[in-house]
Amino acid sequence: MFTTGSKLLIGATSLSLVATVVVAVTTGDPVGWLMTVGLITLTCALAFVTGIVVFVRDCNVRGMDVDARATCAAAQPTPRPSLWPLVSAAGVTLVAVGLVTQPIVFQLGVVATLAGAAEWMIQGWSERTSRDRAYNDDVRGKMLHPLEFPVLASAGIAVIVFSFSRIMLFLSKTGGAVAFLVIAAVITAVGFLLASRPGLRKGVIGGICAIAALGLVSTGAVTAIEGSREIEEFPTVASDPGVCLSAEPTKTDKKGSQGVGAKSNPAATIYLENGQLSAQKVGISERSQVVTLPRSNPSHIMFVNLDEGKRRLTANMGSFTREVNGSPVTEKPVSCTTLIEEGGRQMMTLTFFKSSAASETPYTFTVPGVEGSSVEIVVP
Amino acid sequence: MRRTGPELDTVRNVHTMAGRIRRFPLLAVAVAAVALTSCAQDAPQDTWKPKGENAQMIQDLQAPVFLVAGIVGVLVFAFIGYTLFRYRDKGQPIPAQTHGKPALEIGLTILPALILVGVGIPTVTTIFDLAETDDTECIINVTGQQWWWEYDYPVQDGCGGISAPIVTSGQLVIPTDTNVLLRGTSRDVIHSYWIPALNGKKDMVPGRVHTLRLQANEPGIYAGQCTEFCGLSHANMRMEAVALDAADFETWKTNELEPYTAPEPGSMAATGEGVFTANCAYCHQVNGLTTTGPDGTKTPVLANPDQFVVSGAAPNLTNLMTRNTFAGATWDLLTQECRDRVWNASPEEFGKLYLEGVSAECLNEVDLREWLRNAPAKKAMYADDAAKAELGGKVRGMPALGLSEVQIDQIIAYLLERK
Repeated sequence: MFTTGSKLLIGATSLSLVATVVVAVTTGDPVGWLMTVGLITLTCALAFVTGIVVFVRDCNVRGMDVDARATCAAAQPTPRPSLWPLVSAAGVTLVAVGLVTQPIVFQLGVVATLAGAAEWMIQGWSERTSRDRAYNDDVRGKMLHPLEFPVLASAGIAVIVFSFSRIMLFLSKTGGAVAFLVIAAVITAVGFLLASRPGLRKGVIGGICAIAALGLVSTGAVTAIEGSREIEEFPTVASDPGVCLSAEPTKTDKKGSQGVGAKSNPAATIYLENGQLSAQKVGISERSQVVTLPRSNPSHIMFVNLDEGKRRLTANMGSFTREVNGSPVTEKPVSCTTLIEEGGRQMMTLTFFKSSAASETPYTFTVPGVEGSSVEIVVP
Repeated sequence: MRRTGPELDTVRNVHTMAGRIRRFPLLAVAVAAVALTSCAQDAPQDTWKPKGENAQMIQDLQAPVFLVAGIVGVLVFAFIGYTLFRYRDKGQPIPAQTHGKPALEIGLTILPALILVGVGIPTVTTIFDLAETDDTECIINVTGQQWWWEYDYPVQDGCGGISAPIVTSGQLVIPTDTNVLLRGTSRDVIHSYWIPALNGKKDMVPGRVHTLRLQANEPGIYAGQCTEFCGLSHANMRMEAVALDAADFETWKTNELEPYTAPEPGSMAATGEGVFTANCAYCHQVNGLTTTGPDGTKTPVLANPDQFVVSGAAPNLTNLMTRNTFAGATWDLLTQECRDRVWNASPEEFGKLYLEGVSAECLNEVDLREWLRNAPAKKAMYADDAAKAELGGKVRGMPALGLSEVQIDQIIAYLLERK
């Protein structure tokens, strides 16, 4: 009834069980308990393996059997060696490590585990489809290629794009432009060269592409390690009085990006037209000289310059006096856009944490260089 | 005797049928119970009872659409039922199988398309009509935060003219027969504003300003609640729109802008003013409240909720007792009897009753005291202590202030005069 293999495992399990009982009964110190726990674990593991062998692969295969495959599970040919169990195991390890380290490690582990398990299962299944290895490979391909090709292509493109971006971030602004031109010229030249020699072997073309990709990725890796060049940040909304109260161009105006998205739903649009400021609020067609903005909440304000010359909108966010080391200190926070050309528009986001009543001076919108016109901001 | 074969099958079928018949009355009772809920009289958020022209527009659209959908549904189910019964398996041979019936297929494609076009045209028209803002006669800003609504009436010529901002919460007060435009946003997460009797829903999204038209035909209170899940006490984020006729609305505005009246010196309310200033005024603004320095100088008390509250705001309590609710309109400031009197008042009497505000006799002290004693115990604000710890020392909603019963008496005496 029981085969040789099963008997061996049953015996080992029994022996382990007896050893566990003996050690547990005869020892009492910490080392003894540790041994007991280890033996219990061993017994459980052996019992588990025994169970599997008995219920799944329990049969003896004799040399004289003429149709062992049909009668005995143990006689089935094993699948070909595969990397996927290794990938799955690495994935499980990453999941465990990721749980106590970084979420990205955990996420990578989950992806590796799922991908490895899926590949492993389908490979195992396909290799038992028939005795024809080529047919089995074809079956596997039909199942997995629709998934593998897009995923691998996306990963390849991502690696190339990432490598290229690291190189561009590493080079200086001018160097980046030059490198871009050179690389583009080389690619075009190689393309022409290959096109002019239709007889060229595929292997040569593949080799050239592989060398190029390898060069790109390795350079990208090196530049990623080196880090990007220092990039100065010049936001388009400033809070420096030196900028906000000036009608003249500042460094921020010269360096700041003018391409801020201007479509996000503004709480109010402030127009400068014929030297006069006016405000248009959402849902109201008439313009007015007063804007009510909520307290403690970011409000998007759009500035539209309809006058000649470059102008900026400045939000004068009140004045507040407080004691610092026994002396009164007055703060006058401001916020502003960069200089906007005629017909241009720019968004700025303001948050007022204090009501208008808390300020010693009114909250207002003004334009440096344009006197006598303002829009009052009321914060309830 | 042991039954076998066809005999056993017959017995099983009889038992199954008997089980179904036994369960049928239970199912019928459940369906009837659900159907009976439509007969509820006290249903202030009934979507089928419009009280303003915007809600009426929706009603004019949904009623015929519901009718058409109902007829289509009944016809489809009747046809399916007939087919199931008529062609049930009686052991007959399988009929000849045919494929394709062009006339039927084209007909069953064109008919639903025509129905959809018939529904689509008025739907799109109604959507555009409800987005109209050109005819605005009164503007009110509404800001949602966990879990209450703040209303501020900006300075404007609309609403009969407003010379200084009015800030209130819980109850939105609007003039009747006036096109009111709500300009809504949120201070934290997405909320949704919905007073079914006056219009449809509108999401209030942080960083965006969305508009919602409201118009009420006659004076009264119209209930609503936040309809976008916004956190632990989402179910406790309610709102009420109070419509007053032009004269009463003018009275309400005038009262809101009245200067601060300090309590009678020596009274319990005067003591309460001090307790309020020491415990509540850090977050709650009462316009006109001052403290007096040693040299007699009066300094305005300005709330700084941005330093203590996650949302950076707390309800303005300047005229708390002109409202009928508190804590995000979750509880009434009026006792049940007084509340019923206001809610059930005729349109002619409503304004007068509402403007009386909350008197000492009508004050719902039970809920207000519980709130002042331990607000988080009354309205859930944190999932657990860990969630509270993540807020960096700030609170969400009203914290438990550890007030004594005497202090609560004094604060209530002070608040009762805030109208």
